[in-house]
Amino acid sequence: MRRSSKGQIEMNETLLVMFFIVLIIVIGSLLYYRYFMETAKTEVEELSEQEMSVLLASITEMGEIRCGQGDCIDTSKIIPFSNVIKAHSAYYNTDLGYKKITLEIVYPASDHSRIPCDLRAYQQSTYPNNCGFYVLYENEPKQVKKAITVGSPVSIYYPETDEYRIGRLKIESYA
Amino acid sequence: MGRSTLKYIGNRGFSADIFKWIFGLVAGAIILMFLVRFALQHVDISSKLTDLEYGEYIDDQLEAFRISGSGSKNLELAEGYTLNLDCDGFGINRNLKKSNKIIFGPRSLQRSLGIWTDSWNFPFKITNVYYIGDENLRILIIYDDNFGGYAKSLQMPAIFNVQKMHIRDFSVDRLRRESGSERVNLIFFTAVTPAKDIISKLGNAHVLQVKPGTYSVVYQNNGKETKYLGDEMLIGAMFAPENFDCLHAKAIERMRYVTDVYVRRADMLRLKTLEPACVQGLSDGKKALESLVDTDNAAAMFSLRDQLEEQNRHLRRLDCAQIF
Repeated sequence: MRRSSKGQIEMNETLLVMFFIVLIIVIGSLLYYRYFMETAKTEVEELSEQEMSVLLASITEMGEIRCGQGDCIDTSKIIPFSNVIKAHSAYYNTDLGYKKITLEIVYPASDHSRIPCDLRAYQQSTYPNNCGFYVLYENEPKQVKKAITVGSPVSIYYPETDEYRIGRLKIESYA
Repeated sequence: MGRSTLKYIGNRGFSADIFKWIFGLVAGAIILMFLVRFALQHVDISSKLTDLEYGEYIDDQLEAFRISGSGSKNLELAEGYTLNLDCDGFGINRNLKKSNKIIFGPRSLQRSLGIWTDSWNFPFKITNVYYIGDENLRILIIYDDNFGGYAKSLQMPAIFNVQKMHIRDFSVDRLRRESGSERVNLIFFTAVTPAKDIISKLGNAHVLQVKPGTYSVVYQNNGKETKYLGDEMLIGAMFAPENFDCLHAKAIERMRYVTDVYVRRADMLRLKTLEPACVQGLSDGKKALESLVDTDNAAAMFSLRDQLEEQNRHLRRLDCAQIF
């Protein structure tokens, strides 16, 4: 009887030791996994920021929106381009992903900075003074956790009046 | 049964000590298996992550390189990394990233890469195309008297191993001795006789016949003939003859989308123009652009390109908004 209870105590001890070892390993693994995922997430965010900076600089070189003379954005291509994107969203989403790309008219400042420069605004005789920004591309995920924004000044060209203005190209990347 | 063994076995079966040993062994084996599995999974995820990061890095490099419009540079790939190119995208090792970039090059590249980008215009800028080669790629352009001038006019940066020679100086046997394990892309601006013989003698050769008169290339390894639109595409065929058919189709797809932007733009510009001659010019341009979107015929595409250039010049002379 005494021998049996000693064996049982030893068994319990063994099980307890094993339990704690397993617990330590599981907790250690979970902590390490969490740390690893956090590091990976930070790296992905850094890469995303880097990608956006590069995109910001290279987007003006896209044949779809660049000026014939280069180094500027042709505003008369923006509305057609956004329509082409809608028609071929899968194609453009591959390269641009979950982002919103807008072009704000900065100088001369517009009195209608909140009005989008869409086809309706374009058809009015007061264009381009009747609107304040263009939406080039918009692909928002269903759930937005975080958005990073970068922007850069660009030269914008109006072929209708053969004049240049200054704009701000803004890219919002959704995570 | 020895005495020592008997010591552990009482009349109630196995003693606690022996059970402890068995339990410890089984539990230890399970923990070890878990740790090994965890370590292997971690190594796998880490390497995938590194490959993806490296792939992103190369993508950024290509994207940044596009800003310059045209140029070439070298890029060193770290030991153990392979850049894989596919029609649908590119990536490091097995991790391919889907991309719309048009990259001409062998399917797999290592170590020191040469990268060249150039703007593809037809007649307006469509996109930048990329050409990639490594130390293992050799392009040999062979021409005859008829197309010597044209073949020589196709300029490629010195970072690539490109040689041009007259057909009379070409010898398959000599090339076999020289090339070793190199991948050789043989580009013939003349008839290839006999192509099968060349391919069988040179194990790692891709043979392409260029027919400038019909704007077509024939990939002799499988006999497939493809039309090409412009010198940028022809040079692309020299870098990636085995993938050219698909990459060219991808380039045409992009051309259609960009042209569609110009169609809609011409339509919009007409609304803002009061001068009848300008309205007429833009309408004519729109028709030509629509035809360019719709046609599959390479000769018609070249004709429309010339027509659009002329229409644009006409609009410029009239001081109207231009088609492109």
